[in-house]
Amino acid sequence: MADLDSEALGDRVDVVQEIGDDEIGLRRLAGDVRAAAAPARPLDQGHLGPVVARRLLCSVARGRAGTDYDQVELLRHSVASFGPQVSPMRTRVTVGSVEQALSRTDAALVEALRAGDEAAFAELVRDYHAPLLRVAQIYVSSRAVAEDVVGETWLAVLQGLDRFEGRSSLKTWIFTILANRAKTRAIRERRTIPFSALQPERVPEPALPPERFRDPEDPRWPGHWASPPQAWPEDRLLAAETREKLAEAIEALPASQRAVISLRDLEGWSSEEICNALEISETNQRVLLHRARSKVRKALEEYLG
Amino acid sequence: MSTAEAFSCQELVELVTDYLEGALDPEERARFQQHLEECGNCQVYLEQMRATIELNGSLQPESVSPEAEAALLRAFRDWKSA
Repeated sequence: MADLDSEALGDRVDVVQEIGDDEIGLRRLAGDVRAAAAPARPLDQGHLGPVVARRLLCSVARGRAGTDYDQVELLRHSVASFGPQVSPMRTRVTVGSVEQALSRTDAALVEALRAGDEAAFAELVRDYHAPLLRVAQIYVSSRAVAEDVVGETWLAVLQGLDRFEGRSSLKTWIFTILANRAKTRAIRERRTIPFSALQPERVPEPALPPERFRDPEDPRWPGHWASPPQAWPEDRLLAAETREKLAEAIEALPASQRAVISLRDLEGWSSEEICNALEISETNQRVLLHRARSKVRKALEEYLG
Repeated sequence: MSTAEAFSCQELVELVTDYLEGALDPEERARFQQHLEECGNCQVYLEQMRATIELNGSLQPESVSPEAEAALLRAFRDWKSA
């Protein structure tokens, strides 16, 4: 079990209510949460922007810190051990109210947009423009066409606002418009989306080449490592250049895998939100995520090795 | 002790994401953890996968370019005045 300074985190949770929309306070809290969720690997908190901090808090509010099931359990456990003064439920509620204070509800946002509030539109664009581009690139042939499709999507969103009834979330509604526009454009481009792009389970693609393992029929060590991974040097792992290599490896992925890993690991979306935006099943989402993360890990291994 | 056949390292590598996402059923999860306890190489692999995810989270997500944002805000003003 990792050491968690539960007292410090408890104090932060206590003051959250007073933080309101204080970005520095949020950053600090998010830093603590992040350090608690990944105690073995404190990252440079300077890289945790307010957007990421906010999303991290959302994910805590929803009971999911980070992306690691075990660590979420650990975090939940630790929060529960704060004692009667800070119950896990209260933590969720408190963090939830911060999130609410920072991001308007769909209904309020739609109302502001209809009233012509430019700041509300700018907020929406900042949250979704890059993710829309990522998803559009799955369907169309180039970045330029994807930008075009996203531009059209924003106009369609504005023109359709009066018809938005809130039966799905605003986010899901926007991504449905995008998917329809992108598919239409793909047909016009006479581009057929490779059927493996969003149905990956039909085409096996191992995380590592088979030479890394002994033969599955090996009499003594079937399927065991032939060439095992070597531990990475911590100092190089945290170097800025490693981050550049990582970003390059993500860029080099097929569009569907790149979209899933970016939305999940960089933007902090839940798997459910990704399934809705990409119109794929949970299983396919996980296969795409697995392939993307496996390739990126391999790229780091080649760089650090 | 489980009587089910243990996972091989090659199989474990393909289950890492399901494990981290909490998508394994309890029996598979137990087999996964059992293998892990006995296999230092797979521990290194899992640790590297966690490090990769953590590092992904430290990258700055791409944001809208100033030009694109300006163009969209112009479109918003046109829409508002229409």
